[in-house]
Amino acid sequence: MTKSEYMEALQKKLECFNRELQQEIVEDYEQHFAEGIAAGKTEEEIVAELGSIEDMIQELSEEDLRQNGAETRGQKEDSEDNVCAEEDSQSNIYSGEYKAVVIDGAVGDVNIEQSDNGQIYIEYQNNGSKEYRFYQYEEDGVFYAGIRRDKGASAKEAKRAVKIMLFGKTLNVDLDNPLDFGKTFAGVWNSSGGVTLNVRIPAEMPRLEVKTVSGDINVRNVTPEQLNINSTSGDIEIRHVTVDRLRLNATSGDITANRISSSDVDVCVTSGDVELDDADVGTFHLQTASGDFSGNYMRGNRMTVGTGSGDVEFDGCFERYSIRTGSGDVDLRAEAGAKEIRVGTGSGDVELNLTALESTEVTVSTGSGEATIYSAGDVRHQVTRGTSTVGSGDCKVHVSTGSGDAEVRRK
Amino acid sequence: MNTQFKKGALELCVLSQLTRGDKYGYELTERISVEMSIAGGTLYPILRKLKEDDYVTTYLVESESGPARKYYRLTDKGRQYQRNVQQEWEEFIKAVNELIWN
Repeated sequence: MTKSEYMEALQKKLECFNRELQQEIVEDYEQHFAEGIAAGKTEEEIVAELGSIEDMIQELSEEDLRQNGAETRGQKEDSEDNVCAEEDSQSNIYSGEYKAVVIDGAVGDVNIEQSDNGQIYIEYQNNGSKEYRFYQYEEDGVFYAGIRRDKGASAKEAKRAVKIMLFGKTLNVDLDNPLDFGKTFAGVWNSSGGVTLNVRIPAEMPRLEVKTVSGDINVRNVTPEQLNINSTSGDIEIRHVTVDRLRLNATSGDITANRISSSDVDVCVTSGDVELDDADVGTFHLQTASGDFSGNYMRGNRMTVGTGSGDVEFDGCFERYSIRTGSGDVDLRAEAGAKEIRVGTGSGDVELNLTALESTEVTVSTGSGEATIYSAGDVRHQVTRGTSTVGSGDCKVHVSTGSGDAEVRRK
Repeated sequence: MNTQFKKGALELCVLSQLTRGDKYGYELTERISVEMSIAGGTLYPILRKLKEDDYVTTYLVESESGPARKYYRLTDKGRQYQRNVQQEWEEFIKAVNELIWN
C-alpha cells in the first residue's frame, strides 16, 4: 500500500472522531512518514511499521468519539481552560552556534537555567496581557528573544486579524473567531495576567544578557563566560552561577545572589537592596545610592563598596577592603588574610571586627559617625584618634573621626 | 509476543523512555520496535492521551525531514505517574512469576 492510500484509509476511519483529533493524528502520521522517508525507508515499509489502523483506533478513547463538532464547542466554553481561554503559550527550541543570548522580558518574569544539550529552549506563557507579544530573531550571531508591546493590539483594527510568525511560517489569526485557530494562538488578545519566559541556554554560551523593566529575573545553574543582568523595578535573583565576568544592574529592584563564582563582579543599584551569600570572587565592586548591602561568606582579592545612604554589612575574607558611605553605617567583619582595610563614612557609624590579623593596615575615618574597632588580639596602645597597634605588632589601625567617638578595644 | 501483553505495557514503555529525555513520535516507535514488534501507529493515541492527562507536554521543533517534529516531555505529574505504574508493573511481574514457578 502506498502512503496516499494508507492516509486516505486513515482519514476515513477517523471520520467519526472530533475534528481536532483527526487533525492531530493525521499530522502525527504525516510526520512519521517524513521521518521514515528521510531515514531511507520506502512508503511500503513505513506503512507496515505503522501497522493496522484498526489497532490504533482501538487505542483512542471513548471520550474522543463522543466529542464531536458543535457539541465539543458547547462543552468547552463552560470550562476555565478551554479553547477560548485567555491564554497564550508556546515552547520553542533553537539550535545553532551563537556568541550571545539576549533575553528581554520587559514586563514579564524571566527564568533562566541551563539546557542539557546545545539547544536553546524558550517557553513563553502569557495569561492574558493582550498588549504584549513574544518575539525572537537573530542578528550577527546573537540570539535575541523576549516580550514586547504589540503596537497594533490597542488599535481597533487589530481586532480583526493578525499575523503571527511561528516556526518560520506566517499564520493569520481571525480574532473574531480564534476558536478556529486553536488554543495556542487564541490567547494573545487578553487582558490581565502574567507574562513569563522560561529559558534554557547551553552550558558553553559565551555571553548571556537578561533584562526586564518590571519583571523579575531568576537565573540559576548557568556558566556563561559573561553574564549581564539589568532590571528597572524587577528583582534579580541568581544562584549557582559560575562566570568570568558578572554585571548586575537594578534601579529599584532588589538583588539576591547565592553561590557565585566569578573573577570579576560589578553590582550597581539605585534604591534596591543587595544581598550576597557564599561568593568566590576575584574583584568585587558595588555601588548603591540608598540601597543597603549585605554580604556574607564572601572570598576574594579586592572589594570596593560605595553607598550613599545605604548601610553595609559585610563578612568576608579578602586581601583588600575599601568601603565608603555617606550616611550609611558600616559593619565589617574581616577574616584572616586581610592586608588593607579602608573604611570611610560621612555621618555613618563604623563597627569593625578584626579576627586573626597579622600584618593588616586598617584606616577608618568618619565625619560625625562613631567608630568602634574590635580586635581579637591585645591592644598595645589604645588611642581614640591616631594610630593604634594591635595583635602581634605589625597590624596598625589608624582612626580619625570628626565629631564621632572612636574606640579600639579587645573583643 | 501476545498483543494483550503489549497493549497494557506500551504506556509504561513510552513513559519510561521519556524519563530519559524528550523524544518525538518517530523516535519512540523506532526505539520500542527494537525490543518488540508493535504497530507504530498505536503510539500516537497513547501519547495523545498522556497529554490530555497532563503527563506530558509537547513542543514543536523545526526539522529538515519535513513538518516540524513534535517532541514529548514528561511533566512532574507524569514522572510521578511513571514511578507508580512501574512499581505496579514490578509487583505484577513478581506475582505472575510466583504463580508460574511455585
